[in-house]
Formats: sequence, structure tokens, C-alpha cells
Amino acid sequence: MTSSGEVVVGVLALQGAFKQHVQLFEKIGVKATEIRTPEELAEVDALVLPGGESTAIALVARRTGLGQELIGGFPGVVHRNFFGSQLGSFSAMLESPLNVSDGDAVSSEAAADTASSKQYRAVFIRAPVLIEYDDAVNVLAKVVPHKESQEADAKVDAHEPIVVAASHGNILMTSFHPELTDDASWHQYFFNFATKVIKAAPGGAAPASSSSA
Amino acid sequence: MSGEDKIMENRGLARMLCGGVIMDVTTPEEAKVAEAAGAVAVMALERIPADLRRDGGVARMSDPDMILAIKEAVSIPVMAKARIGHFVEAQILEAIEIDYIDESEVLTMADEENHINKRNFKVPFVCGCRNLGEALRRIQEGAAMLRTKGEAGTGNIVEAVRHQRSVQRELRKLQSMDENELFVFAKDIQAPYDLVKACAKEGRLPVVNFAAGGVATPADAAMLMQLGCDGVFVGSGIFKSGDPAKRAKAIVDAVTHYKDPKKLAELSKNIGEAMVGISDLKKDHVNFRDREGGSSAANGNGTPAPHGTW
Repeated sequence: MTSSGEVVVGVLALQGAFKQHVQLFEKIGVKATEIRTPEELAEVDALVLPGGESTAIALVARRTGLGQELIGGFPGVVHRNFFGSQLGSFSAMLESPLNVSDGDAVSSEAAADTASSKQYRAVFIRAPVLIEYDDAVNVLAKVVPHKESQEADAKVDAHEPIVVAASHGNILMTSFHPELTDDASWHQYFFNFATKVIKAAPGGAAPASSSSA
Repeated sequence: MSGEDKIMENRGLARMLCGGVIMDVTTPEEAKVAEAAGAVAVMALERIPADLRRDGGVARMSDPDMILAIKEAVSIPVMAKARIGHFVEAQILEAIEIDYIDESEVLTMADEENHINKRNFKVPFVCGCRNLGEALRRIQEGAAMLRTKGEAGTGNIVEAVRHQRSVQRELRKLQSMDENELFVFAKDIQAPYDLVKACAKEGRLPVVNFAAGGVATPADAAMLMQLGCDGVFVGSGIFKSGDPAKRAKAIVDAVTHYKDPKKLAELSKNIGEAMVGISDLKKDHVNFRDREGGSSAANGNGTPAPHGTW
């Protein structure tokens, strides 16, 4: 916590787009620090796991003593690289998470209906999606997959909106990269989320966020 | 999707490599060593720069079959080099679905006036730069990622340091300038005005800039990170050293913990012999770093750049 009792956010800085996360938190006045050691991890209230090369991050994390504790439990099934290879990366407009009251699901279709609401441009890169999940999971954003760009999967209907942001307990995850635009809406949302989780469970587990790796 | 969107996405893609090390490899076995060490990507090529310096002759794109064998061997992204201006080598590399193309001065130039129009491609490009002007010229052509040119294959960090300091110094200089001064500054460094203006506003390049060209030790890698690089390419430095697997791991960890001298001291211990290298670069008969399309140094006769009219 800062001296005024505000949540301090750590960004795992072993490898990946960590600098952009820190810059966006700073832009909205949230204290954010780069985390490279277990000692630094102990100093923060919430943690962001940035996108990067997951193979490299896992290897370096193990050598740094940050291995196991970073892997959280999220009650769902993730389909890795759902939208296809790198050349299939894309961006999509979502409703800004800040427009949504707690517990409401947002989808890109809903966003289209309310033209006045603030839109958020989400950037997807070799993105994983949540294809099965527990009822307790709070769905925050969905998109309709591109017909051409996705690799077919028997479990998924190509025309149904799929989950690209969700929260459960103290974990918030997004399949897109909120650090790749100048819009800090998702960083603000995460800060609000972390503040609420910590107030609800003093001394409890720190919140974590993960964008696609 | 518009071309501008693709460029933004490719820049984002390159950001995922930040804080990582990209290693030159010539065989699937070396690629596996690099991956196990924690490399974020490998550069597949038939001969590493140290050998290209020694062998001479025309250096070209590698055999696609050799590149594909490396792609098959690892799950991390694979990069490959095309000659400066050789857009058909780039087309071939895109056709075999390589993850990134390096339009590289280490290969023999195919066009002394023009670089590849990288906006014609979906695959992201990385290009070398010695200063801010060269960096912005490459970005204007569509590069999604930059690296210092350094002087590849020498194991000597001096040129990479010069290039990184030059980019950072010019970015700082821009910060102190009145907006009315940016027009002439853009002309002086032969860079597009809009990109100069964007750099002045943000205080940084719009794409990531890695260190490259002469990195041989964990300390070299960490020094360039402290000078503001986003990550590091290591070419000859690993597989020309005494214990490649150990050195590869040490350099990866040095790039993560670049600000921690105690950790760097540990990482520098017992990693075998470094590559021998070349100490006097000015007397060396090979000069990769001054190869740039449209520059007088590249065409060798001192005539003005044909496209020096920004």
C-alpha cells in the first residue's frame, strides 16, 4: 500500500510487454513497479502478468524463484492460440469496462447497440480464449470470431461470441493485450477490481491479472 | 484490415519480445539449445556473422529448407534474414510463414538505393539503425522493430554502444526542442517529419529497439539494457564461445536482471571462454554497419544519396 492506503500494483518484468503496463498505470496515477525477484513481489498488493513469450517467461521464472506461485487457479478451459497463427492477429472494438456495473456481462454486440458508450480497441495476438467455464466466472467481454482467421475447433461454434475477458475471485484475465493501446480503461478497471478485492478480504490473497502470453 | 492496423499489430507483436534475447542459430540442435536457455526467438541462418566476415563472397538469404527445419524444432518465433532491398527474398520468407524478417546489413546489399517496402508485407520486419534518422527511415518503410546495427560478428560492443547512445541522445535532444524547430531537425536527420513529431511528443521510438552487433558477454547485454535497449540479439557471441548453453542462459538472465550488479557478477562466473573477437574495427576490411540504401557510404563513391530529398 502507498502511505495514503492505495493499492500498489506490481508488473512481472521477467520478459514481455511490462514497460507499457507500468506506463499506463502511471498515466492514471496508480503506483506500479517492475517485479523481478520474490522480495520485490512481497512488496506489492496486486500483480500483472504481461504478455510475452510464455516459454521464455516460464524458464526464467523458474530460475528466479518466481515459478509456481505465479500460476493461479481459474475454473475454466483455455483454448490457446484460438484465432490461428500470428498473421491472424487482429483488433476488435469492445465496450469500455468502466461503463459496466459490477457483474454485468459485456459483449461486442451489446456495445454496438449503445453508440454513445465509450469503445475500447482490443488488440489480439495469437490469443487464447476461455471456451468452458464455471458458473461463478464473471464474463467481462466477448467477441464474435472472424470466420477466416480462426482455426476450427469442434467444441466451439464459429458464430457464437466467445469470452475474451473474465474474472473470478481475485483473478482478472484478458485474451487481448490492454498494454498495446494508449487507452488505460482496463488498467483503471484492474486497479478498481484490486482495491475492491483487498478491501473485501484484508490480509487475503493478492489479486492477479493475466493478459495473453 | 487496413495496412495501418497491420502495422500497429506488428509493432505490438514485437513488444512481446521485450526484455528477451534473440539468438543466431544455424542448426535445429542449436535452436533447441537457444530455446532451452530461454531465448524469446531465434534467427535462422546458414552462416553466423563471424563466419560471413571471414569467408567473404556474396551472403544471401538462407535455404528455406534449412529455415523450416529450425522452425520445426522449436515453438518460439523464428526470424530469417533477407538482403537489403531484396523484396523477393522477403516474399519467399513470407511464403514459408517465417515469424519475422530481418532486412539485414550482414548480408550483401541487393539494392544500394532502396530498402524493401515493408508495407507490402503482412509479416513484421526488423531493421538495423545507427541513429534516430536511420531508425525513422526504416519505420516509415514499415519496420515493426529495430535493432542497433553494431558491428556483427566482431564480439566488440563499441559500435552497438555508439548506435544506442546516438538514438537515445537524439531522442533527448528532441524533448528539449521547440515545436517550430522540428521541421529543420527532421530535414537534418533525413527523417519523416510526422515520425519526428511523434517521437518528440512521446519521448521514445514508436517501435521496440533491441541491441545487436557485438554482444558477447552478460555484461555487454546488461550494459545495452541500461542504455535503454528493449532486448538483445546475440549472434556469433554464443555459438562461437567455449560453452554455448551456459553462456546463452547467462545472457538471458542478465537481460532480465540488468540492473542488479550482484546478480550480474554471479552470471558472469565460469561461463567458459568468450569468442575471440576483433578489437580494431576501423582497420577491419569488413564494414557491415554503413550499409544503408540511398546513403553515400553504401554506394562507396561518395556521391550524394539519390533519395536524400526528404
